[in-house]
Amino acid sequence: MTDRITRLSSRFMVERHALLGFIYGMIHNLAAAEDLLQEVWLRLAQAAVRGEPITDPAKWCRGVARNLILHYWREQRTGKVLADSELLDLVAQALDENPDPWADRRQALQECIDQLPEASRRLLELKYEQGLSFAVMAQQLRRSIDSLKMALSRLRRALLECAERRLRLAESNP
Amino acid sequence: MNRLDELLLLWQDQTLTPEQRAELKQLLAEPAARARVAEDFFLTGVVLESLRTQRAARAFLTHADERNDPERAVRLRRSGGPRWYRPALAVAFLLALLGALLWFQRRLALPPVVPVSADVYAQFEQVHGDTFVVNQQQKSPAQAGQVLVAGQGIATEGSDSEAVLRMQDAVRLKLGGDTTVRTEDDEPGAGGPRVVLEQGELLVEVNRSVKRKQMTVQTPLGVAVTQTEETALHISDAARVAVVRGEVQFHHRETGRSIRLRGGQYLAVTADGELYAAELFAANGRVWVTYPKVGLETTSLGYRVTFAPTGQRLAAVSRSTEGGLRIGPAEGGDSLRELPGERCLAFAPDGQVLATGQQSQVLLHDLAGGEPRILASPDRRSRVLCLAFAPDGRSLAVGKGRSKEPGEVAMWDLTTDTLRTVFRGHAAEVTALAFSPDGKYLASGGHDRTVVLWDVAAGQERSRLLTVPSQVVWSLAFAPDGRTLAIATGPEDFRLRQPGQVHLWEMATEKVRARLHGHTQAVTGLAFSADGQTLITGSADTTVRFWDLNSNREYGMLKGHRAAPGFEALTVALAPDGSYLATASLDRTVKVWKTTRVENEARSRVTVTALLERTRPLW
Repeated sequence: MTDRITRLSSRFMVERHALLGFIYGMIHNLAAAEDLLQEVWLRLAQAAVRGEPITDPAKWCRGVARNLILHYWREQRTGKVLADSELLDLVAQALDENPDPWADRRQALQECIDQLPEASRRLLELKYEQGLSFAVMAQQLRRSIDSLKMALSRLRRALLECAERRLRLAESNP
Repeated sequence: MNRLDELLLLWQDQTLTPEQRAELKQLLAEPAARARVAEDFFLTGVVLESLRTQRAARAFLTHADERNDPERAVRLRRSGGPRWYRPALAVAFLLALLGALLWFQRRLALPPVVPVSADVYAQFEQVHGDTFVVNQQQKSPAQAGQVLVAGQGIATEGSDSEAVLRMQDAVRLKLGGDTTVRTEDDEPGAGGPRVVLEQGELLVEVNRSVKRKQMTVQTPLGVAVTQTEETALHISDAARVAVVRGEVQFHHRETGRSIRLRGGQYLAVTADGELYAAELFAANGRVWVTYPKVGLETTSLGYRVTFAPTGQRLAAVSRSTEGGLRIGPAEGGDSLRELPGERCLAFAPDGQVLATGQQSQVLLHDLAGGEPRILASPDRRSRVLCLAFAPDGRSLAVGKGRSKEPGEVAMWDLTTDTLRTVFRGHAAEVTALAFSPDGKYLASGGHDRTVVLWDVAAGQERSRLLTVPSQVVWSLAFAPDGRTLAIATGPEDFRLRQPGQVHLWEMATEKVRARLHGHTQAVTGLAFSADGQTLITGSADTTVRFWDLNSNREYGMLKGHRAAPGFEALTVALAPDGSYLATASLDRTVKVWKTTRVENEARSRVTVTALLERTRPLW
């Protein structure tokens, strides 16, 4: 039992990024997303203790997260969050269909993020950590909304490409 | 930017119109678009995790202080404001500095060692305890608002003293207790001041580039140079150089080697001087219990902690009879029981009996209830200092001793509660005991700086090891496979700033196969992970360190206990399933930390996760 819990927690730790991205993408509130991630983790641990069969932990966690997101949407009712269960299911499906070599890619991406210049890091902080809209960011940074969108889009693309390059480099120089 | 990316950005911005939403759904009917979305969400997750890690690292240094003593917590806020009034602020600031300088000169009647026109390099923002401005051989008390000019240094005296200074408008220094700092001009052409930490603990926070120049901090170990605009580094005896955010290049003075450290990393050094980066675990532990304040001497372990074999229960004991023994669920709560006991504790292998000391006696608490059984030794003069149950649960080894007298290990038969035999061979008190997993051998160590391995069945000494360097044995633990005995050593007085060590003694060859260097004071606690690949150590240097036993290098550090006045002993315990770590410290608290085992192809490591950092009352 202990081994099983340990195995599941290890898997969870490795795959939590995609899950956090999924939850955050749906509720756009980092603190709340971390709470929901925590809840998923607890439920996974409880299910493991109960001995429930979990063949695909990532998928299982996404299923739990989906229900928690729906619950969160119902509780919020502020209209500020875009609640669309159809989109939620489509993204869950997308993640189910595209399992990833998580550990390697995460490591590569992490290294690329660590090397970002300060301005790019600041952009990510404002957008994701502080959850500012492009309009507010534009005011703060004295830039146009379009240029910020373009900058963020390029930054994300550059990070993915950087990670790919690193992985290729690692493969060719094992 | 293609249409899908554009819609995903709008979605992130929460500005999707119903039409755009419908369009996005339509696009997501395509498998290629779903693959792109999966990648996008994964990327978002990694970015969030990265930002969160940096945030946790930023909080790393201040958390412990703030939690333990909010009144004394010093918050280092970033300076700055709307751009339009910065010039006005700068002028006002300079005028205020000039005025303050003249005022202080008159009021304190300082000898005119420093001309008024000398460069002002810093101003005190906060002063706690005994803080002084050092001017050559003269010292004068420092006050908040006071300015410093080139040539003057700062000294805090006493472990509770601290000071916060602002250097120019972009650099802040926070000095811990018993710290001495001065500045000097950097080499010609390099520009910028060089901060020299002569001793103690210093946090340097650079909030933007100082005229686009690097900031140099000279430490007793070497020189740290900031590489990024927003950088914070912490220098102390315990953690040497730890980078909270940004990047720092560190040059080791003696070896000439250098290393680049990133936010969340600290400098680790092997015995032969190789530098490498290890990870700061920025998690929060939950306070499981806080003991009442009693005077404890500095030459014994203040508190000990252990998990029950099932991992569900945790027990802790105080060095003092007044503190007593506490037992309760590992996750804490209000249901802690108080039982009599002191100094040491051990669970029977079945988890039903908890043994503890009470002066010269051993108390065996049956956790099902009832009065404790007492193992009363005929020798009433020696105190019980450590305990270990044999793996079969039928015997209990009791380490005893008294200052400046030979120590001994009493073996009790628990089926009859009688004293079976006494192992004599220690010249001083026995402070640590460990049974090999097969129960054949018992290791004992103590103040005589010796570890003795006893053949339990034969009742004889099998071998003996004198620690080199000669240090007191504070803790012993066998690896789960029984092949290695870990020996934690350190100076007898925890206040001595001499590095402690862990010796890994190989049973087959009876030789020390490795020494783990890193702790800067006595190593006082040991815990192996169940797979034997990780060793966790606690030390009087206030840190818990995590060692990879494949490479014998430290890979992580946890610093969550407050430094007691000048000393601290940490004992550690890992739950049998590895899910929790418990630490007991001379700061009178026992804390529980969530741990996770991270595995990859090459190795398995225990890490302390910040996953539960900010959420519900699981603990």
